[in-house]
Amino acid sequence: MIVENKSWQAVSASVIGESHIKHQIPNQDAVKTEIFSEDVIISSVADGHGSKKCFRSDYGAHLAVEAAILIGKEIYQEWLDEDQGLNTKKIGKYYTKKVVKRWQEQVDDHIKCNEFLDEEMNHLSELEKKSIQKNPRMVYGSTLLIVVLIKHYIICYQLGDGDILFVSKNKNVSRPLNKDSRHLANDTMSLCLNKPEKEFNIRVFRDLNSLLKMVILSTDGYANSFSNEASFKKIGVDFLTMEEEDGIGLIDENLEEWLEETTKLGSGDDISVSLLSRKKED
Amino acid sequence: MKMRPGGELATRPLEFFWLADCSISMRSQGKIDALNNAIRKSIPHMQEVAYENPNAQVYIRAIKFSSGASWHIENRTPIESFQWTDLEASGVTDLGAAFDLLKESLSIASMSERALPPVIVLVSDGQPTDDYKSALNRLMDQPWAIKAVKIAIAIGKSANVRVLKEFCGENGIEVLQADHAEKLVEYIKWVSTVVLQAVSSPASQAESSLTAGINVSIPLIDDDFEALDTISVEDVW
Repeated sequence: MIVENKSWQAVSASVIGESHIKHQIPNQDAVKTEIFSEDVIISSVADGHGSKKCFRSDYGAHLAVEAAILIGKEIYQEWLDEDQGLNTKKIGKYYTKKVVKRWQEQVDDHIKCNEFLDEEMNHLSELEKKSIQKNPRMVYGSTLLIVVLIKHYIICYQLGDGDILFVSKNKNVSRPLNKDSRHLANDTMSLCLNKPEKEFNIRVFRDLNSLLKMVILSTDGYANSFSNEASFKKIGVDFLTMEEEDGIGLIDENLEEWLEETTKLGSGDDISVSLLSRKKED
Repeated sequence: MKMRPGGELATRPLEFFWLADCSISMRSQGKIDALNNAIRKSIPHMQEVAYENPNAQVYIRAIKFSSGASWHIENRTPIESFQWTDLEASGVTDLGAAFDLLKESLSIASMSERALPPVIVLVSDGQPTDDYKSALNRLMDQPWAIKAVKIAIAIGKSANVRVLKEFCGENGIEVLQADHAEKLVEYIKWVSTVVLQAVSSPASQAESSLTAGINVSIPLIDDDFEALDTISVEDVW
């Protein structure tokens, strides 16, 4: 489904990983894009960890993107000053703190109403049970990536692994956020850790000359499916070329099938992608 | 349909390292023969696990250590074409030299950032004869070494289990004690199947001290874990 405002149009898809199908594990990713106004669009992807002790992380990922969107909806009017400049205080940690709090509240409520079942816990080791007792939110652990497009600003937020790519008018593909060296061997920062709001990588970009044509958010299963960084970044060039030649409708029609092929021949992990494309100027 | 966006796809690499003690003591009671047999017999099982996990590409390498250390299998060998050449025993037990050699292969520059956690299996029957402690510290300076699944198999009663435990880490997997050839075969089969399977399709994990560096949940060895049928060495070590 295509969502759009006057400046941007967006498509997204989420597919279950090939290895998840084989091991009968659900898709633990989530993706959501929403338009708040003609000037504000927000998109988010989340990747539930899926390890044995994170047995409800599919729901944790769902709660993560919901929290990003719902909190955004509640406070987006505070993001711009009276003179339409960006209120960096309100768009930065003020926002992520609220997102984390909402996610934690939702997780705590879910645990209260749905206690952990023996069948969920029985297969865990004593060490794993102990770590859950210490931090029950771990069961719902998830990453969270958010991009907010507001007026002439682009704000990127990242907690945990996953990728955000910018694609310029000249089809240069770049990463707006530096890679986090802690994300190694499937280790990732997470909403379930202590004070996760401190771990968000946040950057604000001014978008005055419309050089940026596309923003792509994806869970790590996508980048991990390519042989190297250049092969991954080529998605930016290809998606923008397709959009220019055939329109975003073609991407929307085929995205799921492409991602299925990618996980099958690549990482085997779930893949979720949100693609935001600037509309052609009249 | 339009061509899929993006460049070349690839499964994720999984590096599997054998660290084999080839000191002279491994010659007594047929221990080196038992190790050679056990690894050779594990190959079809490893290949089967790899076949069942097509999204991971398993590469094998091996280091032998005695008086110094050297590569027994230096090139990353895809499991599909992996063959085992027999090790021979002689010299002392320079475990530290093996750690130093391994360290180079686990550096950030040597490893793919897309790699799955590596597996390192250390098999030894004795006491280190060099400064293994400093070398282990240097090895553990490598982030990939911290995240590796480290397994140690002590062969016979003379093996220094404390040293092997240091390699596995305080909260790591317990040292496996192989007191006879069948047990060694059983443990090597477990490593080659259950452990390999667990690492081949791991889930993400929240970065936390609770994970104690290990990022893969390794099932315990079941009492009824099926050992291979027979090997010729029957001595109890």
